[in-house]
Amino acid sequence: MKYLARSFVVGCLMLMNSASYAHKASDAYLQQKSSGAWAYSIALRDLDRAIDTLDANADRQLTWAEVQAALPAISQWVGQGITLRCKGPALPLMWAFDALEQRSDGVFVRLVAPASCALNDTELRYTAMQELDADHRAILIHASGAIVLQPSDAWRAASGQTSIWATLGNFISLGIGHIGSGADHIAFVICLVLGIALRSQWRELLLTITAFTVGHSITLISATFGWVGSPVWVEPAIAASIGVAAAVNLLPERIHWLQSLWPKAAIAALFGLIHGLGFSGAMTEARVPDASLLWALAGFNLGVEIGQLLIIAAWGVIYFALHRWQGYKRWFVPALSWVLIGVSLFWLFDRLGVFA
Amino acid sequence: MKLIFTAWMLCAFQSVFAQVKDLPTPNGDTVLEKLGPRLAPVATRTDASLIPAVRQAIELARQTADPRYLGQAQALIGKQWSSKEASHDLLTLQATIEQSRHEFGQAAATLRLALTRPAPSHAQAKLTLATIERVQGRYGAAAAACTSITEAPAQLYARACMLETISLQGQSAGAREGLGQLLREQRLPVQQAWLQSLMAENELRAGDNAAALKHFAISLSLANDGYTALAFADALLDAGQAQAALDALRKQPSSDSVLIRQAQAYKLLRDARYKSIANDLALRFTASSLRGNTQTHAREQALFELQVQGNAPAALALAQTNLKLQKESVDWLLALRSAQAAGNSAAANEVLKAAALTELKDARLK
Repeated sequence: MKYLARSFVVGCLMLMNSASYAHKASDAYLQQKSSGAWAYSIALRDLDRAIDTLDANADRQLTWAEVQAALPAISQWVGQGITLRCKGPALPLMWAFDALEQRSDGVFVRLVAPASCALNDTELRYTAMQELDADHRAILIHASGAIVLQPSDAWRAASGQTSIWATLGNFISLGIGHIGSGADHIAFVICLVLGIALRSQWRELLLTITAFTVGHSITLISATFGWVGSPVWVEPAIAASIGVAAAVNLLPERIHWLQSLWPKAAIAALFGLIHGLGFSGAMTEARVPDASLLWALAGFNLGVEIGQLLIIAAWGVIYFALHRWQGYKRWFVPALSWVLIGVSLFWLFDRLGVFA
Repeated sequence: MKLIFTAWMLCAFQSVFAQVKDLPTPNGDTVLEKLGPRLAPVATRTDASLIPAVRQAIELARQTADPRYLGQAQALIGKQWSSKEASHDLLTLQATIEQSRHEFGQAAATLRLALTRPAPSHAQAKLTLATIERVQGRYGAAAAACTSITEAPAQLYARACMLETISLQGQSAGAREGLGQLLREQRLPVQQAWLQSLMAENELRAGDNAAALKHFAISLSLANDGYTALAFADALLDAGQAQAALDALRKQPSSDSVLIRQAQAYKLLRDARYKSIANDLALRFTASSLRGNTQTHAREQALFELQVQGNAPAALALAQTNLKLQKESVDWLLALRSAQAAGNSAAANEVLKAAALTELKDARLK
C-alpha cells in the first residue's frame, strides 16, 4: 500500500494542467465548510444531461455565457436534488453560484447554500441525477474521510454515522414496498390463508404465517450474508409455489390430512425458503455497509412481515364480508383457487421463457 | 491495513483538493467544455424505443471512452434492469453494459438469464458470453458457447468465435488458415478490419510481432477501433517503435488506457511530456479511487506503475489483483513482466504456472 501513498503525494504537490477529458463515471462533490455553509460541485457534462436548455445553441460547445444564462435553472435543479433537515422538517436550500472549478474530469460548477446546522445534526437526501445516470454518485467529503452517496430517496446522516433508527425506518419501508409490489408474493400469501376460516381457526392461521415467515427469514438472512446465491430457478419456483398452495385448497376429502395443521405449516415453511431467496434481491441491491447490515436486515424483514399482515388484513375484510354466504366454501374458495392456479401456470411458463 | 488505508484515503482527499483549481471568471464566449453527443429522448418505455436508445448509449461509450454513457444506458433500462420481466434483447444489452464495466461474473449470469428468454436470435448473447469466458480464461466454456450458435446469419461470427478460441489454446496455424479463409470471402470493411485484428492477435501469440504489426495496420486503415489501436500501440511499444505508437493513438479519445501508452511512448523517447501525462493519470486514479472502484481499474494502474512510474513491486501487486478479474494474454504478460522487473522470480514462475493451467498458449509468456 505504501507505493500508492507515494504516488498520490506526488499528486498532492502538483497542479492540474489544462487537459480535461471525461474518463470516469459521473461524480459530484458535496461538503460542509467550516462556516457551516454547504458547497456542491457538479460537472458541466452532467448539467448538460439534466438541463435541456444548457447548451442553448446546441453546438455542443458550452460557453460561459450559456452557463450564466442557465444559472437560475441550475440552482433550482440542485435544490430539488439535495434536501437537508435538522431534526425537523426538510429545509429548502437556496443555492447560489460560487465558482467554476477545473477537475481531472472536466469543468465543474460549484454552488453554495447558507449554513443549516452542525454536521452531526444534519440528515440529507440526495436524489440528483437519479433518473439520468445509474452510475452517478455524490462524494460527501468530511475532515476525516468521505462517504459515497448513491442517489436514493432515503434519508442519511450527513456525518456518515447512520443512526440505527434511520436504517430501520428506511429498510422497513423497503420491505413493505417490496412485498406490496410483488404480485406473486401477495398471491402466495392469499393461497396460504384462503382455506382457513379466520374466525374459528386463528391458531392455524398463526402457525401457517409463522412457518412462512421462519422459512423466508432463513433464506433472506443467508442470501444477504452471501452464504447462498440466488439461482435462476428461484423465480419459476415462486410461480409454481402459488399453484401448489392453491391446489392444496382443492384437495378432496380423503387426502384432507394435507390440509391439517402441521402438513400445511410444513408447506408454508418450505415455500417460505424459496420466497426468501426472491426477497433477497432487493437487499443485495441496496448494498448495505457491513456496520449497519444487521439493522438493515431486521428492518427489511420487519417490513416484509408488516406488508404480509396488511395483505392478510385486506383479505380479512373480504372474508368477513363473504363467509356467511353459503357459496363461500362451495364456490368462492375453489373458484379463486383455480384462478390462482391459472395465474401461477402463466407466470411459470412466462418465467421459463415458453411464451414467444 | 486499515490504518494504511485511512492514511491513503486522507492523501487521496488532499490531492483531490489540490487538483481542484478555481477558474478565473472567463469571458462570455469562452468555451468551458466540449460536450459529447446528447442522447435522443426516449418516446415511450417500450422495448421498441428503449432498445435503440440503450444501443446508442453503449456505442457512444465505446466511441468516446466516456463511461457516463453507460450510466445513462442503465438509467434508460431503469426498473427492467435485472427484472424478471425484461426481454432477451434488453438483458443482453444489460450484460454488455456490465461487461464494459468489467463486471464479468455478473455479465455472464445476466446472459445465462437472457438465454432462457425467447427471441428470434440468441446469437449476440452467445457471442458475448463466449467473449466473457475467454476473458476469464475458460476456453472450454467459450468453445461451447461458440458452437451453440446455430443461427445461419451469424455463421461468420460463430466461426470467428471458435477460431479465436482455438488460437488462444495454441492452434495458431489452424486459426491463421481459418481467419484467412473468412477474409477471402466477400465482407464489409468493418468485418475485414475486425478479422484482421483477430489475425494480428493470433500472430502476436504465435510470436511473430512483425506479421502482427502488418495486420493491425491493415485493420486500422479499414476502420478506426479503440481496442485495436491500443493493441497496435502495445505491439509497437514492444518493438521499441515509440513514435509509431503515438501516431497509432492519434485518433483515439484520451482514455486512461490511451494516456498510459502515450506516457510510455514519451518516456521511451525521453520526451519530458511524459511527466505531465503521468501526473494527470495519478490524479485521475485518485479521483476514481474516491468512488471506491479500484478493482476494475487494476490493469490500467498496474500498467501505469510498471511502464510509466517504474514501480515494479507496486505493478506486480496490482497485476495479481487484476488477474482475479481478467485473464487475457495482456493480463498474464503484465504480471509476468512486473514480476521480472521486480526481480521476483518466484512470482514470475507462479504467473507462468497459473497461465499454463488455463491452457493459454502465448509465445511471449516465458
